[in-house]
Amino acid sequence: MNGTLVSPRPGILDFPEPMATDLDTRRQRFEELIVPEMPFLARISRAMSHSQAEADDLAQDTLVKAFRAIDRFDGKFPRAWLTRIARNTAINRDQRNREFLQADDSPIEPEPDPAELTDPEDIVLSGVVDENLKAALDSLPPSFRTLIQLVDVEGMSYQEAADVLDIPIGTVMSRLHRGRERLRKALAGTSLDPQTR
Amino acid sequence: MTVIAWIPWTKPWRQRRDYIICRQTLERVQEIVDGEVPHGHTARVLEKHLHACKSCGEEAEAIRMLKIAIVRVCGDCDPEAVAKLEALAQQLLEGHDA
Ligand SMILES: [Zn+2]
Repeated sequence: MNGTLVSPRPGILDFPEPMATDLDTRRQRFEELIVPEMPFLARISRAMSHSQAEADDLAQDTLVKAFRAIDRFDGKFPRAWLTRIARNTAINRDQRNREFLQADDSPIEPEPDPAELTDPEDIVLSGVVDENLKAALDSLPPSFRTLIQLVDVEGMSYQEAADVLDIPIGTVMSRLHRGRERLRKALAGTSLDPQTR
Repeated sequence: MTVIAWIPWTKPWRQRRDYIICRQTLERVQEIVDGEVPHGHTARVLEKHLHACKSCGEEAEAIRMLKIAIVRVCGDCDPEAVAKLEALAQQLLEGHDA
């Protein structure tokens, strides 16, 4: 502001919109942009959490914050906006989620499953893989699981994921690589296993 | 590495070239599968190598299969969680800000 602002002509600006309209606009934006993303919010909250109960709390806190902050949302990329709120909420929630800020490199020792499944098509259709994969995903640090969710399931680019999680793109690539290696190790014996190559 | 590896089109030269291409491809195989290598010369060279080289091609295929399996396992969410969120959204819209 330079202090030489011309005062607006008398007229419309002298009569601010009634509050009801503001509230209606707010609600409309929320309803149109945010409410359709509830399945996305549920998925991403689960990826950021250690349990479904924790995920429910995170998703609900995120939704309330989004409602209160909807005026500050520019209307572009609701998923990116929700992810940022959820990430900040998860970090503030409890100490364990400081993991989001630092790469957790603790090794995971999966039980190798000797099931010999050689045809990749079989692997993809196999329920055995799904069970093992689910367990392996659960044992990943939330920061890795969230990234895999954003890139592999939600289809974000490396740059988009880096932006919403506030990490460098190099970290995106190294966490993706390490996370996937861990998942593949947990699927030992299947043709997704790097050791069988 | 013998000096002959530097003489073009000799067998050691080809082995060394293939080794370097494999290493470069494996370094970027994740980016290739994720569609993160911009269209252009590099992308074409890497794609061509994935089709020609068995071990690099299998590595790419394994990542692709893993991604497909991840989508199957993580693509759905708990319907109950979504129902709870939708109910909360309605409450917020009706003016019951928590
Ligand atoms: Zn190769």
